Amino acid sequence: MNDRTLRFKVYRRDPGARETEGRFQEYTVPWWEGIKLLDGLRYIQEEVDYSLAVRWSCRIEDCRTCQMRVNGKVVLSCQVPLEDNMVVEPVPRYRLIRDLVVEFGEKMESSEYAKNEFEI
Amino acid sequence: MSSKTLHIVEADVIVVGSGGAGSEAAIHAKQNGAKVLILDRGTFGRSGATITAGHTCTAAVGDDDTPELHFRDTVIGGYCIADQRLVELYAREAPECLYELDGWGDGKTLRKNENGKFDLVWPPGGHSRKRSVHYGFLTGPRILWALRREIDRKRVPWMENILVTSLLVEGGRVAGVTGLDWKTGKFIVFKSKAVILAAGGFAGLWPSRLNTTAVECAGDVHGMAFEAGAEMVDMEFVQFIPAQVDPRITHINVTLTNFPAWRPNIREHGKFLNAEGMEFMGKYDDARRWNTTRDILALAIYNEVTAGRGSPHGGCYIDLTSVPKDVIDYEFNKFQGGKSIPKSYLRRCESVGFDLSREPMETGVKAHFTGGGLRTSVDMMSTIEGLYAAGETQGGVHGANRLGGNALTHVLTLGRVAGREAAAFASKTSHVSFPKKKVDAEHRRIVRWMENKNKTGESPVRIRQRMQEIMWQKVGILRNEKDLKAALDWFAEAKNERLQKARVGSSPRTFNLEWATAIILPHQLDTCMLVARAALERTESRGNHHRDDCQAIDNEHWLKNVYLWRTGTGSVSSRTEPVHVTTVDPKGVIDERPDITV
Ligand SMILES: Cc1cc2nc3c(=O)[nH]c(=O)nc-3n(C[C@H](O)[C@H](O)[C@H](O)COP(=O)(O)OP(=O)(O)OC[C@H]3O[C@@H](n4cnc5c(N)ncnc54)[C@H](O)[C@@H]3O)c2cc1C
Ligand code: FES
Repeated sequence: MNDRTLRFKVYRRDPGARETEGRFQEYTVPWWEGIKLLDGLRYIQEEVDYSLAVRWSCRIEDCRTCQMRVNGKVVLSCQVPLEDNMVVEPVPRYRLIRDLVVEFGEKMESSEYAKNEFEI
Repeated sequence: MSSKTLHIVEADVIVVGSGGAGSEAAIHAKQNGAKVLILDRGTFGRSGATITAGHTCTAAVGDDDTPELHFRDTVIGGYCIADQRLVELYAREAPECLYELDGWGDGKTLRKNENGKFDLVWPPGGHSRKRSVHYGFLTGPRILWALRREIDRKRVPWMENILVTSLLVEGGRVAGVTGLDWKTGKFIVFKSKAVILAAGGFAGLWPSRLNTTAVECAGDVHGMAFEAGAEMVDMEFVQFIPAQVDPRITHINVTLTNFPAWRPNIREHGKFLNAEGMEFMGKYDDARRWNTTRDILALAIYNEVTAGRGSPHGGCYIDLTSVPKDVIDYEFNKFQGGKSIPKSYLRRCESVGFDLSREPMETGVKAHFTGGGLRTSVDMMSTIEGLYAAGETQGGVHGANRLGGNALTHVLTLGRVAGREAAAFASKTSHVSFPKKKVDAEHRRIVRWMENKNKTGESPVRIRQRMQEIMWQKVGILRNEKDLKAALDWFAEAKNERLQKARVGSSPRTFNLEWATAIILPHQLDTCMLVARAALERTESRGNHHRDDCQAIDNEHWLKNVYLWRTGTGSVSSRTEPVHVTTVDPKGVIDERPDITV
């Protein structure tokens, strides 16, 4: 066992409960070899705070539903190594459902995305 | 709940799931005149296993191949207990289904050779012909892309973030489904004449770190169908697959064995090694080694690890370090599309600092694909009138072991049949009377978790975590009577006692993962029970089902399938029936092990 931990900040807001302002909540999670941002968020949801809203599906860089904004940059949370002092927010452009979860809807399959993934 | 506040949506055909099976089914239902609606608990067209399917989709389109050969290989690969009527149907329809799919992507859905024909590669072990149609490393995403284009073109309506929570059945006929809209926290009733369950498999019943599938494949729909009275088949057959366990490599799950690793150069120079540096495949399938089937390879790795010859992260090693570098570059990069696909296997490895040509890859086993599911006839209707099953939710198609590449084919091809048949059924029937009582009861079951704020009580999340560990320890790759019985006791206690006393502490009504866990957990526990029960019934070892207390395959007594269903009193009943045979007599082929000649 190691006692190394990681601290980072997560955006929280519940529009369903009429919260108009978001806030950042700080969490501490244990470090392990290869830990990714999504692992840290899932650790929080399962062990620390069941109410955290976070979305993912495949865990292997295929579905892109785990997109988030870290320190201002859009990333796939299942692939980004978790680091101290990260600031984690939902992706912009989409309607916020809660915390880090947005509604992708029609926009998810934007032609831009399909192009960059498939066209030669 | 008064009917005024009840939100009702009506369609002829409701399709649950937007993966390969659900998308095909919906397109074909619409094409055949039905008013159809797709529901998905995740992001539309981006959830489930189809998008993760890396490599291959099989069909008898090669010059030396026929549907009969594909059928035969599949039957033998499944240790002769697949339902031959279903295999025959899908092997026959597969080529046409893939040509149609290719057309939906303007002839560019799948890779072609210089003659404009499908570029064929060898599928993973057990196939006797070159019959994998592909799009490099992105076959699954590419197939979904083409399906999505057709869904948009045909204006097939869909709703995402809808967790389907129960099936409505009235007088033996399907009446629709209920769902929870995660975006709003609202309960919705979907009335329909037919329902197609295309909600994927149940590998998510095993712990996340030990399964390869998408999080939505949670196993709740199987328990839901069982509760509604549907008969289930082959629930004991869970495919555990060699999968990487190196914590650095989180961007690939299924390993090299899913890729063209059997090509001569790799076969010659590549090795499977245990932690002592010993090659071990000779012990398990000396003739085929690299080209063996997944069940054998998975058990071999598992045996080496449990015998104490495992790697630090609980696997063995696939060692390609002696394979010439240009071969590796071809197989895992250029073949997969080179520059046109930014994320080839090799590039993905490089991006995390892992060099295939210098380091052996740690490979363990994980729950991957589930062969069991709803029993259907050749029109994909289950034992409940109007309830159809398609894709991995359906059982009986692969028998005791699934050959690589056959899942996508099955899912797409039979999904199409389900769509056609459900539309035909809906055109001949009317809606059944609205099961108001059941809807009310389901609504209460769901909102109870948010209203009943006990001060104490365990979170359902804890119970689910424990359930997944039990599935690994007692209903995993190697089973026995004692473990299975202990697991069954645990599932019953968890459902009837622990879950009753549990508490959802978190209050948000939107995207509340704890609430969703509470809602689906009783169905998941039922599915766990079905797997353990079927595994207990089958007192032999065959394909993906291994028992250390009955190690041999027993062809005299077990060329049969196990069927399970719920009795009127709520308990589970079982029956075995001889396998459905059309043209391949199991007795004549049971010892064949198809191999390729390279
Ligand atoms: C990592 C990986 C690699 C694979 N590679 C291959 C391969 O190379 N070749 C091959 O042939 N097969 C492969 N397979 C298997 C194959 O991908 C699957 O068997 C197949 O895609 C299943 O398709 P489906 O349409 O039945 O289900 P899925 O694609 O799993 O779709 C199910 C859908 O149902 C939805 N859903 C589930 N429950 C609910 C609910 N309660 N309410 C509403 N919606 C719900 C899900 O969100 C999902 O969108 C692979 C599988 C995995 C996991
Ligand atoms: S979870 Fe699918 S890309 Fe991250």
